[in-house]
Amino acid sequence: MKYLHLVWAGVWRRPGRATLTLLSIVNAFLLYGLLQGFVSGIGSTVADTHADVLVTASRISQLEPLPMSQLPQIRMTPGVRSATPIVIFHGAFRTSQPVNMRGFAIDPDSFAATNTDEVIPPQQIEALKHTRTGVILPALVAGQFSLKVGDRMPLKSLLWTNHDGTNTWPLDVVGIYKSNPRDIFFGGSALANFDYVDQGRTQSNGTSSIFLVRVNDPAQASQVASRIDALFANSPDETKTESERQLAADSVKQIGDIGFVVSAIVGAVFFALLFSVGAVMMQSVRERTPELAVLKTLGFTDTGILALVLAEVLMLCLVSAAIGLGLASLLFPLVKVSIGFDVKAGPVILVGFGLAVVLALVSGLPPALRGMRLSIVDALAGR
Amino acid sequence: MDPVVSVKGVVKSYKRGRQSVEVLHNLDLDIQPGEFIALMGPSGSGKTTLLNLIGGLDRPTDGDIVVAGEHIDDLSSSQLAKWRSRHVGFIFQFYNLMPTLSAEANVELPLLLTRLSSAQRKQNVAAALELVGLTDRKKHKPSELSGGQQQRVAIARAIVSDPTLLVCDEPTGDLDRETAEDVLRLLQQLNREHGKTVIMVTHDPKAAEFAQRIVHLDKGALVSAEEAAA
Repeated sequence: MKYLHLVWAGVWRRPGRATLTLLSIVNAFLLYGLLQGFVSGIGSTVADTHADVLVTASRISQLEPLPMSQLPQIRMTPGVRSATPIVIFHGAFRTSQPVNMRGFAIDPDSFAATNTDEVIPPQQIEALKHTRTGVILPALVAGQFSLKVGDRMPLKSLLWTNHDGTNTWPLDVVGIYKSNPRDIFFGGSALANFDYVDQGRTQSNGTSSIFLVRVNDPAQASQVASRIDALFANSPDETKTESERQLAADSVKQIGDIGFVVSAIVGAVFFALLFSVGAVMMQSVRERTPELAVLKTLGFTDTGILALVLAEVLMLCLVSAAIGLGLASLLFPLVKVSIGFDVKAGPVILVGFGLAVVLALVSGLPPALRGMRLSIVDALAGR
Repeated sequence: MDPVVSVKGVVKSYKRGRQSVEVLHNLDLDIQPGEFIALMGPSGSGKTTLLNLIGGLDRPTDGDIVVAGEHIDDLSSSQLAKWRSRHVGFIFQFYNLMPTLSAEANVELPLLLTRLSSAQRKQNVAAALELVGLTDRKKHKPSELSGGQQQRVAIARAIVSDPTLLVCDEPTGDLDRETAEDVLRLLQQLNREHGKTVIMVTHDPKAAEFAQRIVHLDKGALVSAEEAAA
């Protein structure tokens, strides 16, 4: 600690240059924090999906409906605890500027058995059961449209026409649940009654878009999935059963290998930074050659000088990283609002500081070695 | 009495490209404890080279140098650095203060290498600054001080760790006559009242008059030694 003021003075010897260098490093860490926060949000969302939930969909496409006659067979499959039909019911809420909304039609009775972690409060599912036109909304959506329990909302379905020949489905809000972006199906979706949608639509009646299956033992999930698919092999309605986690990972992959893209961008930024910080520190050491020689004259050892220069770079990088990552942390809630993922700030910040240390050591080592090796006599003589 | 500095048969050569240039030739010199000695001679005579060798900043090509009982030519680089911090105070022509540090922080630098507590360091710094008459300037940075004041800060830095000898390379070379005499009187005071051994390189005969003994070098060899008026 007694050398802190000496290190600090070395960093700020040229305030203009130090400020610009600091800003460039802050910028890099802000970028790293936001991008890596985004990736960690996706990663944690995939990791937090249920390991014991399987999704059975048509082998051809998720939009291809499956007959409800498959449901009893799935329920009878060894290892299956419960299964429930789900109909995709995405739509647009009728406002002056229609806003798309994720929605599903669920069977309240069988859904209650599958909803073991109670993402949707049981009393709300019970309310849905008793109101044919009922809908349960996530809090985020309810807040967005200022809807409350008892309100009527018309939803314009993107897929289903009802018997009056329109796509508009009147719905009554019976519950509002806490949005949970970690639940890929129900975390932020409107939930309507399966019977209301299935019996009200003009096509695909008696079918389900997917079946949600909960297994007894998560370790046996893949075997159960194979058993379900084997049941319908070579039938007109072949199925493809995947774990919820696999499905989430596949959905993310459809966007592209985000992790790789982010790593490439962050890597390029830090690679460039490595040279710029290294060049600035080399210049700083060159300018301070006589000063470093005086420190050696006073009794600072070669390794002491090495440590001093490295400490300067380390301080510059750590202070910049703290500012950059601090700003990124302030923006994490905005990331959540805009893309719906919860950012795990802790690991991102921890790795960020690790990166700052590596950046400091790698970029600071050449100038530090130069300082360590300088000859006192030559340096004092200006050679 | 044993000399505080004993230089025996010292040779110093430098490589200049492929050529080896001998700067000091088989040089012998003894300096007694509490002596104030001036090294004089024309440019290139080897004054600064000899001073650097005595101060442990450089190593002889041949010969022995014993300072305060230590064969300093046998010490490793880090041992030599530690030895310098304990035994030698350096004063340069251009002061060589850290421009970003205040006067007191500059004076404190040698004490950072000791085990003294912060309070003890502050106490020693205050005493050194008081001795050179700069207590009221302790918070000023070098750029806010005159040349003479900067050299006084440098002297305070040199004496703060109570070294065995003070090594001064043209300490008044960058100062006007009046300020130079103030600095020389301060060195004389440190020598007479505090018993510091002072070795000073100078071109200036007036400055050399403040020393007790003047040693003349020419072409890397001692040519004469005389008692000064002081």
